[in-house]
Amino acid sequence: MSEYGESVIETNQLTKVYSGFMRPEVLAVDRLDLTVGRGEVFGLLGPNGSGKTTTTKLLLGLIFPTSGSATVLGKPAGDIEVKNNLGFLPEESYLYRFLNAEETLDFCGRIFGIPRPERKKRIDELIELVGLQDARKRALRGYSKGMSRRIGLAQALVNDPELIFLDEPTSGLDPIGRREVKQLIGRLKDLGKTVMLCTHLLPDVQDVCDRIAILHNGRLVEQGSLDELLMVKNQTQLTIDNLTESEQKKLVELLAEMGHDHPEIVHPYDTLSSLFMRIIESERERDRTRNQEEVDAAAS
Amino acid sequence: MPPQADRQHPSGRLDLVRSLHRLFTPSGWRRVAELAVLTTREAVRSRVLVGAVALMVVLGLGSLLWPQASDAGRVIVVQRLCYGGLTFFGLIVAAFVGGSALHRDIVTKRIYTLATKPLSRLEIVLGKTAGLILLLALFLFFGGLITYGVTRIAHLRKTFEGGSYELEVVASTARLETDDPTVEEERLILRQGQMLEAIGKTEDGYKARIAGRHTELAGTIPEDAVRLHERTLAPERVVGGRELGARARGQARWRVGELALAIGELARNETWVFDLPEEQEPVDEETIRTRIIVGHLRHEPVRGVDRTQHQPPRIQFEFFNPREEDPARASKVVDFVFSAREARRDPDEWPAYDYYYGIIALPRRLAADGVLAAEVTDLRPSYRPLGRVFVRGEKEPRWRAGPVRSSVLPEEQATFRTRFHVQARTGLDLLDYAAVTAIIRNPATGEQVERPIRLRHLTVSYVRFPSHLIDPNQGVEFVLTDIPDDAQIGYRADEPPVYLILEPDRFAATTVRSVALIFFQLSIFATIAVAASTVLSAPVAILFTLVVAMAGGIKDLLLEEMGRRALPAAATLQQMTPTEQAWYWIEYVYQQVLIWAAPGFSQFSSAEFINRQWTVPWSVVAIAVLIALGYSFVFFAFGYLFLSARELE
Repeated sequence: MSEYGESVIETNQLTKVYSGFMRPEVLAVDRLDLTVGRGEVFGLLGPNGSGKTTTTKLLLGLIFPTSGSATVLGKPAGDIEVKNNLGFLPEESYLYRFLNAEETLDFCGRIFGIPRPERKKRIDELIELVGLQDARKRALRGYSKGMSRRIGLAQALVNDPELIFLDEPTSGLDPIGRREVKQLIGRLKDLGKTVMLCTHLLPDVQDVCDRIAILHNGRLVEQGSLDELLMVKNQTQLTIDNLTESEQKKLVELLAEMGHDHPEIVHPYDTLSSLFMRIIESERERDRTRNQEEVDAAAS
Repeated sequence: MPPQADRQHPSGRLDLVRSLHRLFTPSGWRRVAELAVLTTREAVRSRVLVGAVALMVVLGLGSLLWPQASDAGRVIVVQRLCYGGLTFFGLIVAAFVGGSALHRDIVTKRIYTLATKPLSRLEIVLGKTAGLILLLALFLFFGGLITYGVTRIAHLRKTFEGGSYELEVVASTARLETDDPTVEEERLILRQGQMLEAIGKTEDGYKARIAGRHTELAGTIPEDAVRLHERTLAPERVVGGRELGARARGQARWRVGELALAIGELARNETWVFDLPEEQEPVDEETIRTRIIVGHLRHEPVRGVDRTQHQPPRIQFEFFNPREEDPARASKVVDFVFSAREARRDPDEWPAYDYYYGIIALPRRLAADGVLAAEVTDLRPSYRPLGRVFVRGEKEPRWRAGPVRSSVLPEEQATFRTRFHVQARTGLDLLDYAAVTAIIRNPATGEQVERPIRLRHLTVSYVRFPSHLIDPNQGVEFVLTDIPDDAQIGYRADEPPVYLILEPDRFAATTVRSVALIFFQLSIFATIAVAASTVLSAPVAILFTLVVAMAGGIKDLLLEEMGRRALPAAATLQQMTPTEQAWYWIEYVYQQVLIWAAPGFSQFSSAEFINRQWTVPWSVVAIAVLIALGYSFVFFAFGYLFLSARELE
């Protein structure tokens, strides 16, 4: 147990130095001490080459630490039994492109030993979840990048894992897809899953993560809950609907009386993402209505 | 300084015990099977299987067009080509699919999909290897069906063609026989040593009968083929003289002023024909100094004979010019004792010789027409054989073959041949034979025929009999009788004593067992390729697999070549110069590497059996299984070690 509850990932002075024949030594991860609690959505942030992916690979046992240690779900990193409860979406979906979506999920399900009826049900659920119903029989080689990310995400969830590693899960996705992925991460959190998110897309992190760690040149430079790290403790934001100009004036006067000079009163900006989503949703609704009218007209 | 790695950390590097424990569970084998199916499915969808099978179809159909002098020969060629194709295409599939199996997954990072699932690296290597072997099994299944079909077509082809049979022959010599004035018969000796009897000359060419080893066919020799050797066929040049037994062709060449005549196996009453090359060196006008070399003549120990009394055989040769009309000038009898070369004089062993030679002077006239013939007219073994008969403990051995499943049985006129594979010990066993009588009897009707046969040590003798002597249910009964008292005759336990050459099911058995041999050989290549792909890049792994296959295939040749190198004159290693010593050690290490590292793939070839029209025994297949398992295990272990130590970056 740690201060974050039961920890599912713990690293102790984890260090990785890449070296080899005719290859310069590169310190990719430097004495990393990291703890991820159960049920958290944990963001591992950092610029390119900061060691995020290397840390993930060390935790998955794909590569071996130069020194230090790591435990995942209470077992040493790389333990085969632990992999029954892990899901992994790599930074690009490295899948067998001659298979279609159904076959890919079926293969993964078989490897996990999921019984046939349950596997079939799970495949249908996941394909619907990632929105690939129309492309479920198409070979992955014909998928766009976004579709590949979606099937990659589905295969990472096929075993209903306790701990999910998502490396740049929203890269290549359109805004709708990004929002869906973020919603999915939220849903996973609600189900008590632990998600480790590696990304450099900060808005994604801000939307979904509970805690983050920031890596730079392989070193951990900051770690903590998002609220703690982002909260501006000496400022207060007040959001009120439809404040008129006279009411604004009164409010400024009142605050001046309280000793708060020059308060800033502005209309809040929506994010571009929200605007985009609103427009697309309204267009979709209009299409649906028009289609329904055409159907009704044809029927009459 | 970073702290040292925690010793408790498995590091993934070598977790053999746990991996084995996981593997030997139902779920472990299931995971391996899933990965195997995935690997096979990828190759199938990449059209590797279809491509390889299509090549086999082309090869199979092409082999039917291969010109052959006899039906038996055609079947053999078709089988050899098809099995060669199965091995070659299978090797290419194994090298290319296996050589890129893991390396491709690692480079494209698809390995993450596997390595982050509950699959140990042991299971990954095993699954990939099993998938490739499954692919090869599918290829061999379809390729085997094609081979079987093509073999059957080749076998039945004479039926389709009726009595007409076109031959491409290259005749090197011929002789007219005029015993029957109504038929103009010629006997041709083919360059390949096959015998062909031409019965009468027609407008189209020579009407011919082929006496192959297992079948007989009537046909026509095209005039064109015969014309190729018009000089030797011209009747005026083939006069008088004597009949050529035409059993074998010898080799003749001029060497340092003498004529060297080489004979393969020495046997009584056989005639060797030598085409003499043009003289390039001056020789005596009256005589030719001639060296006769007999190869592969070995004396086996004979019980009861003092080996110190052993002498090389004394042999009488009659050399003659087959085209010389005057009998007085046509031949010369030479009686002499061979000298032995390369004799091993180990006191505990009987002398064994690589070959014998003798030098004689032949009259020049015997070789005047460019053809010289020789016949062994007397052989005098230097010791008496110990006479005792044993054939499965019976004086008159009898056995039954059957019931016989054969679609050719209804053909009343079909002729069967039965093979007697005999170990007959009759003194100088290579040079002598035992004349016995075989009684072939139908057990249901009691009908029987008697056939004289000659049994020679370590050779196959055949007897021919009509098909009505075979009862479909009870088979056919054989009795050997009139066995000389001084002969020892036994049968090899691993061979059925009776063999119906035309029994069609033999093709199925031959195909299944030959394909099984190829399968186990290819399994070794598959394991090598997958193991190589764990550590080498795909092109290098493919090349490595092909090199190992080639080195294994030519291992015997390489070792033999090395053995032929002249050794330094020094008697011991210490007496050698440093350079000689260095070469000696290089050769020694090279030999040891070849012997121990290169798989001996000769055990996986069914060519020898096919050439002799034998069925591959199951015992040979069993040995192939053991060898394949041994090599595969070693290479698989390397593959596992390499992948376990490898970081999947």
